Amino acid sequence: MNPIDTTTPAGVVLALLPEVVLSLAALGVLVVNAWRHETAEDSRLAGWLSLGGVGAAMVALLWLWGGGASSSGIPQMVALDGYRFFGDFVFLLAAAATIVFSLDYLEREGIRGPEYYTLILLATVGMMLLAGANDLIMVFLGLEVMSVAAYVLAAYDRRSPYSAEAGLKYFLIGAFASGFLLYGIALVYGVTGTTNLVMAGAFFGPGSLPVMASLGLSLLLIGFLFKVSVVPFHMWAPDVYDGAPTPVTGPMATGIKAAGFLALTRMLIVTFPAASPLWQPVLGILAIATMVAGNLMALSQRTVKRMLAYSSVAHAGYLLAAVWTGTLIGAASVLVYLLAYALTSLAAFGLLAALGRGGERDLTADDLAGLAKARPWTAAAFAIVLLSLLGFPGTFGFIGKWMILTSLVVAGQWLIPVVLVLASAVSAGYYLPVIMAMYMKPAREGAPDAPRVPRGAAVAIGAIVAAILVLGVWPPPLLSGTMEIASSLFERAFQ
Amino acid sequence: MTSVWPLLTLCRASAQPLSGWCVLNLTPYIPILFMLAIVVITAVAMLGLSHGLGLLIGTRHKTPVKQSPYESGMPVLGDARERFSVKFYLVAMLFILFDIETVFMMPWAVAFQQMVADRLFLLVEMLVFVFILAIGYLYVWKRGALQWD
Repeated sequence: MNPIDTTTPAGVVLALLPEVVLSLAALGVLVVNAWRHETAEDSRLAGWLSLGGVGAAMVALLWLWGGGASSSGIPQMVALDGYRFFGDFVFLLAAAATIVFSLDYLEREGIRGPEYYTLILLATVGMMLLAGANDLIMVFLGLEVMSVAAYVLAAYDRRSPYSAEAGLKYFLIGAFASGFLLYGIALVYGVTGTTNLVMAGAFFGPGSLPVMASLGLSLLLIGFLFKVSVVPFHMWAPDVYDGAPTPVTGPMATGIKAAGFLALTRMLIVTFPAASPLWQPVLGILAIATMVAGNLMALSQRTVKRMLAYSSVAHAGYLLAAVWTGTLIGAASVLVYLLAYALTSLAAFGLLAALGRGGERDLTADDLAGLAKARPWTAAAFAIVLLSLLGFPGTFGFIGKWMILTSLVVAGQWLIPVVLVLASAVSAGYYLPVIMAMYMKPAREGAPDAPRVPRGAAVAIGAIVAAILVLGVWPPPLLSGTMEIASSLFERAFQ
Repeated sequence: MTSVWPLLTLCRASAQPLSGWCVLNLTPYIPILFMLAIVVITAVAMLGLSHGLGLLIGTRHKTPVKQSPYESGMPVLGDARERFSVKFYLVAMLFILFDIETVFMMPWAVAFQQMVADRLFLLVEMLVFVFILAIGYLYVWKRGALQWD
């Protein structure tokens, strides 16, 4: 494929083809919803149409990616590199899995309104724009498109006060964080006279930052860290993840976090590489605080859903440790860990959504007792997913953690890796009891039969679990691929 | 250069933009500063004079009419904090959405006049925007959000 000339309108549409396709699909589903929004059958139709839209966007993405699309000329608002394509791939996978999990969940819980699927598609468009943003304005635009859709999704179960609480909390905190981000963008623009990440990076050069730019950088960091729920900006995360409908929690904990981390990494490497003495200590300390606090708080949770919510905070800490390095292998390990975490966490929330009945918020480890006897395949899938979250060897989660550890050690750091390993050991204290309950405890007297995982969800979970196992045993193609993808980031960066 | 406002002088002296601390030239905003001052002085004078003179030379008769919130207005009927239909919120929200989106067309029209080279492109961009707006309108209409009952 020839380099795409992004100075022409046709070139822009071509460069943004996956996003354009997905946006059109969202609009199409909305029009269908305008006429068909009454029955559960209509909701199902919207779900399948959305799945088709995600598939079409995936085809467009693979066509661009496989053709090795690159841009000619000046840096544009949205990057055209493997880094963006990798992010888009993860988001589309997450969207597809979410739609499949939601099909039966919405029906079972009696949640009305097929607009749900339009919102998932629009949130995915926002994630794609955010992760590919090469311009601070585009960062803000993608963030808002993603977040506004996510606020509504969090509050989608109208009759549940917890869902309403989640939506309101998420909205207030999200708007607050956006304010920080905008102010940071304004300050960086005030100093450099450009919002483009590459050009701003070229303006700063290898020297130290002007005072106003470092102020802008710190405000930008606060905005991003709020969005990816890093301690001490994590207070909203457990309540929101806990209160939102479970299939929505999956993309919120994976897609939104992934988009935030990808955009943050791109910004730090492309725009602020010379300022690493400024941001490295901050990120290092916050990574340690997040790993420790997230795992300790997850340890004291009673319900499985809230435990997974806190563990999602802990995983943000692992990712932040990889971002801390600011090196090529660090950026590659961010990609690997994001894929590993996204797959694993999606499967975990999908299984949780399927295992509940009339709400799964209150599901504790003891409620899963005896699941291995009643539903051996479900129990096995859940056990593998939890082991992958723990980082057990042989699963994809282990490869992700191993990559992060490698990048930290290569960077000459010893404190963060030690904390990471210890924190992972602590996390065994809340992942393993669930597995123990499933395999070693007998089912309680008179407990209702464990529900069967719906067929569509079972296929998706089976595929994810297979991917976790395969990539956990045979990761070399992925590792070399991500190294190559991450290097595309450094080519553009100011040296 | 001596000036009453050292901050403004500093800004004017470093005329070079993009040089770290002071990149804002606040001089054009001096009339607004004057206006602010006049507004504050007027407000303080109005309130202070009416209250102070009232205390000094006014008479005080406490009648039920004088004690009511609106002495010369309508008689108060019930509490203002009552529940009213959620439909008002929907109408207000839709109004804000479509209103702001049409306001967006004004800067576009100005830019359209000045841009000579890429007029077709600008037109298509606005048509895309209107198309998305129309789909939103269609959806709102079909879902019955524009109907009161």
